[in-house]
Amino acid sequence: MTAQPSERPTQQDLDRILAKLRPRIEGLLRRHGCAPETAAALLREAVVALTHRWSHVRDRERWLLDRIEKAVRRTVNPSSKEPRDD
Amino acid sequence: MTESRRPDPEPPSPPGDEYEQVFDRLEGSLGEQLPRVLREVDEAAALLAEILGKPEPERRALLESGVRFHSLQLCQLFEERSREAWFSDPAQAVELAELAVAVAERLDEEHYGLLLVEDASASAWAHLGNALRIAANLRQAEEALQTAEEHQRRSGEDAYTEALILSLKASLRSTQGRYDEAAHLLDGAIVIYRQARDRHEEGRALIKKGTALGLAGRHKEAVRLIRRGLSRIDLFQEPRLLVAARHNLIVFMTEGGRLQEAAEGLAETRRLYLGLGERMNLVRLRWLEGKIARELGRLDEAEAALNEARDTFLADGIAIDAALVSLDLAILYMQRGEISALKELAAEMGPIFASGDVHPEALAAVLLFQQTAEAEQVTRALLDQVAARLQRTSTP
Repeated sequence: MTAQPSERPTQQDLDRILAKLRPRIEGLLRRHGCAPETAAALLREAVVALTHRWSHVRDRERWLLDRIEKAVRRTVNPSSKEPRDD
Repeated sequence: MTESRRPDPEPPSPPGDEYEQVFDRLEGSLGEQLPRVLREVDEAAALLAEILGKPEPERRALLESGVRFHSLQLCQLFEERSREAWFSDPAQAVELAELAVAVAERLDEEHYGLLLVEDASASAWAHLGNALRIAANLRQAEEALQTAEEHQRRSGEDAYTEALILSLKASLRSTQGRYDEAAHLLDGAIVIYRQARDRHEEGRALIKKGTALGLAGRHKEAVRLIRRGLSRIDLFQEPRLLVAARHNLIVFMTEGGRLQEAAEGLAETRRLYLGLGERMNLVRLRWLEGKIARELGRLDEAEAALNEARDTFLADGIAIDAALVSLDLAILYMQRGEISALKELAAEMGPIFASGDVHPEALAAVLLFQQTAEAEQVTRALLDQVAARLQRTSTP
């Protein structure tokens, strides 16, 4: 395995993916009742993560949707994954 | 009568344009942040070269002193370099993974967000765990992987990180001889990659599961799983994985007594070994040719091939493989009834392990072989057992 130059997306690549996924992301936010003010931060973090993961992920659209959905679920229901101590 | 399922009622939703504002806001914040992130990706290779250009003891201090080194991309490059060293230099793999952890722990949460930082820590600790395992430090490897899991639980958004941890934990379980647990963990990784529609990684996990079961002696299942994995991997993307998987497939066919299939498989795979052209793979090809020839009763041909492979491993200081080939030679000497040759071979194995940093499990296995050879009590079952213990210590 040789070190490859860092492959990364262009701004246009990311814009294209976001534009394509926008209806599905909006539907997802609406379905989970995610507050608009937190949604922007979640999406921003997911896009930054995708930028760093770019060369490792095969189906980037699916990966991004999956990540956003998990983040939204966790935000809407923060105790869903952590064990409860009560 | 079945009740028809009605769709869940839509939750009370903000008006559509509120989510439009989300995208407007995202565009604004990304517009500020992305150029910095993209620049960071571009600059990471130079930062890596700067750190690695320093003597080893100075690297950590340099990394800790400069905020410019606290970059997620640099963290990932350390992980990549650590992965490259897994096979060639375990101590360096540990050092590089420790640097990845050091960077991950200094990432700016304001810049990346807490979840992404947690995810980076999970991945870095997982790499450290695997490097420690390969360097024979199983207790610390276990601890590092537990730390990785804790970070992953706090993040949990990146399915690939979860699959990575499952896969590396499976490697640890294989090294510990807990093959069923390894297979179970790999099932989790397989599901994740399948859901992510990543056939290549799914294939790799299937091959890994097959290899774990093969090491457990479940050759039939191993062959089936490795074949399934081979059908999924991208041959052009990773020819080395293809050759390694075909190699393991043929080994398990041989060990499972499917000699004709193994010989045919080897004939088909020979050009791949040659095409890849890596010296060590060619040595492993000779080793495999020797094993198959021995099982087919062509003992002189087998002895020549096995001696050639053993001598090359010895010359290159690859102790475990040299010892494993020696065990294959020992089986051959047993078949011929050459007890003195077998005892001589066993005596020669001590010096193989004298010089290096040897896994205690490997050392114990070799000592067992030497003692039983000296007492002239070697059996085929014992040789298989010693080989299995040695093999576990070299699982990548």
